[in-house]
Amino acid sequence: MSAAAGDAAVPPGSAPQPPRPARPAQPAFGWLVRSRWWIAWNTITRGARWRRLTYAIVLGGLVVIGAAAAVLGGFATWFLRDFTARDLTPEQIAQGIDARAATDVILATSLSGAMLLVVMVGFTVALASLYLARDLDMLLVSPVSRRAVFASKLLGGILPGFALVGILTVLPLIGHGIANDYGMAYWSALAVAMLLLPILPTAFGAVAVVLIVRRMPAHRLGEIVGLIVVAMTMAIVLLLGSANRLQETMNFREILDYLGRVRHPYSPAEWLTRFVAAAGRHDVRTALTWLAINVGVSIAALVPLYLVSDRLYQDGWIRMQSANLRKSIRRGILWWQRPERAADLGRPSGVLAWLSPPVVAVVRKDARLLPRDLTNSAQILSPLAFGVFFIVQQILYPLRIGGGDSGTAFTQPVLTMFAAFVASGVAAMVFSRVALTGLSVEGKHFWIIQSSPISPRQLVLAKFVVALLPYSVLSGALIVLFEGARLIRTAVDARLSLTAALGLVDVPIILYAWFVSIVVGAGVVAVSLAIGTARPNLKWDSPHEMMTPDVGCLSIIFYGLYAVIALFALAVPGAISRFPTLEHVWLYWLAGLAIGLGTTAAVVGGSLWLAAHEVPHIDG
Amino acid sequence: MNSTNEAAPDGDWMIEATDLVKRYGTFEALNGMTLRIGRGEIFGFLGPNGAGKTTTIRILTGLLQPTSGSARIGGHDLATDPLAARAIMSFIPDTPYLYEKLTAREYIHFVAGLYKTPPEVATRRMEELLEVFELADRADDLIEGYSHGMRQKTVMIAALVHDPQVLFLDEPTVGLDPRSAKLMRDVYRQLAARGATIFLSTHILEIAERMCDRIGIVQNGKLIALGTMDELRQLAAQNTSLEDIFLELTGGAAFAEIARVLA
Repeated sequence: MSAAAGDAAVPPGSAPQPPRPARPAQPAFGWLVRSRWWIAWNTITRGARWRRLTYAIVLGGLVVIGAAAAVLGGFATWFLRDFTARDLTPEQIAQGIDARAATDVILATSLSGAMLLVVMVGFTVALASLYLARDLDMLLVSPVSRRAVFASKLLGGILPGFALVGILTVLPLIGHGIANDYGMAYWSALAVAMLLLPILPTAFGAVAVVLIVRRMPAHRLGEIVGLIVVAMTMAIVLLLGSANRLQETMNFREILDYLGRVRHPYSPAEWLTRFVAAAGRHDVRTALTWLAINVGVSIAALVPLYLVSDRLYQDGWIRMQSANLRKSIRRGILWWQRPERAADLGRPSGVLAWLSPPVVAVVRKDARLLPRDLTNSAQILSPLAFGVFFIVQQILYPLRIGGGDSGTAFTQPVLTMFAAFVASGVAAMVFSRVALTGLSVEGKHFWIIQSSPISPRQLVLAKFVVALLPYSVLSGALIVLFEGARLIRTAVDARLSLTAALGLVDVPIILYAWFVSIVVGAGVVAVSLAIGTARPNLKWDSPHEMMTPDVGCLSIIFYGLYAVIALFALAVPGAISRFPTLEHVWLYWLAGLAIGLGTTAAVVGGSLWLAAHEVPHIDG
Repeated sequence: MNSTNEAAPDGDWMIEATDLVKRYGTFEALNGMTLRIGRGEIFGFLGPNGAGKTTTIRILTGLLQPTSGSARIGGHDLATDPLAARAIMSFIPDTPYLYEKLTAREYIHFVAGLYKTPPEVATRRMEELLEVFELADRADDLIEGYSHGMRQKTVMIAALVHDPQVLFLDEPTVGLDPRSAKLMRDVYRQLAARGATIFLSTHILEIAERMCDRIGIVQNGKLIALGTMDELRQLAAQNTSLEDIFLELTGGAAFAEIARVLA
């Protein structure tokens, strides 16, 4: 502002005003937190009716899960205490050894699991709330303490997620407390423990975010973190998938010992476990000791973070503002992404030669955008964990029918059809989401499509192709990998030569399995596309907001129902095709193909018509 | 008020809006908007915030459906023949939301594909326009790294590649440096000289005054004035500048009140 303009703002005759001091951190913090809650409250109470209904359904689901968790916690505690009490000798009982102490492993496992979840989400949540919030620019240039902004953003970001983790942890421990007949001391200690539990991981998550953002742009970091979370999810799925095998090779006491390893003496979750357990058994001195350690360490972590947050936060924000945003596309293995192929966007060629230019333009545009946004990739990669798990299972514990005769000619098609079933499931989980968000993914860019001469039918066809083409490639690849894994294990077990092993490959059945998978995929993609088009969400800022829970649930119910009918009708004739004693096999083929293809034609045709009918009603 | 277009060349209407009404619940954003704009005309569309400018543009570009009334582009009804209508027009919004993970070249080819422009033709025109708008050396960068002005230029090039007969511009010079803004104004004039119709919504009265053949002023969803600068001057008696005319017609007394509050 010029001096003249500045003078003009001062009323005539009044003395110049001193510059306004920045608000002290504490009142500003309270004001920011209250503002955040007003926004959250308005979002819920003034939202669309269907959105409020969704919240109610999710809340109801949580209550059911919570009740089940409480019962499970109580039952596990009762069983474990009873199991341990039977082993106690009269001398041990006389010495005051309590069978309830053995159930502390449930307490420790629950608190450690909760802490692991907090660690997993803490970093991502801290990153999103501290640096990727939309109102950050406005807040950081306003006369409000940066320390207050930092603290309120961190608190607002972590509370909803941690409340969920807390509920899921507390409920089994309520069952645990009831089963052990613990009194008020236990319940009070549990409440304190739940408050203390997220502090340390959150503080470390925030420190890590603040330090890393000084070196790396926050948006890029967010994309990378998404992939890391997917990798961790895949690792956990693989671990859980192997748990049943573990159970077969270990007895109950060994499993207890195994679980007892989570009780690491340097783990904050273990300190909380000791505090709560001691409170439950009225061991006041031990309980207070562990409480003091917990509180002391939490304060020691939080206070320095709060003190240095002002400077570190400012540095990170400045770094974001001054980051070099010039970004070129990299020459990766995806050949269609290369700069010199830009003109292909509107050119029908290759497998897309039969389509019109507007359809090709949308297909090729989406084929470029999906792999480039790591946030999208992270979300569609999660289901692939199941595919990886199945391949590992096929090598370690191959499916067999009738005692290891998987190589015989007449049972092999059954296993191949099962592979098609799994491949279709994995590919459907990945690409039904792509179809479901086909329209929503346009978001604020929908004006480009809407104001251009592409018809609703062309747009729907393009989105159908965008999901079905990669679905077909993925399901085919998975069938080949599943069959390959099973073949390797069979060849190793039977000590077959490579030629003999390859002789077991039944190419026509594998091709038919792929055909079945593609046909079912067409139906799944069409149903998902129709539901996603009927209820698009174009007003999203983060990709996970594209798909609302009600749309996701509806999609799974409808395409699941269709897929079961079509898969069963098409796969059964293939599976039994080599059965030697079966007569009139052609009748099974005829019935299966008629039902499977007929259902699919009706579902695909109807869904795409419905989707095309909905497109003109979407206001961008 | 002159709601028809007596000044339009030989009655060749490229944009026709007839009695357009748009309601959101009980709120009436447009209340019987009627407009006719001829071939080769640059039409300025002015009005205070919330007057109905953007709603009108969104209806005329097919982004929004009117509650009642009809709109025709180049003789094609937007309700019954939308593809033919959209095929001859382009829209440049005030906030250019573009695909962040595409490069400018990819985005322009994508839009060219939507309009069925042959890739060879699109490439030739695109490269010429990239040079004109001084964007050629950044055209293979992802759009997410572009400034507002560069995005605006990208939208502009994509809008021109298929050689539209009608161009809708919503605040076209917002965020542009003076040199780029002048370049854009020159481009619009050339397009109009070649027969393209330009519908220009703006708050910058100087642009409207200097560029537009006719000006329409909208308030509360209604067209309150329409005509050439001379016709508007006559309408507003002694006022000579468009700013004075605009303030008088749209209630300039409010500004005195604002000045009093700020004082």
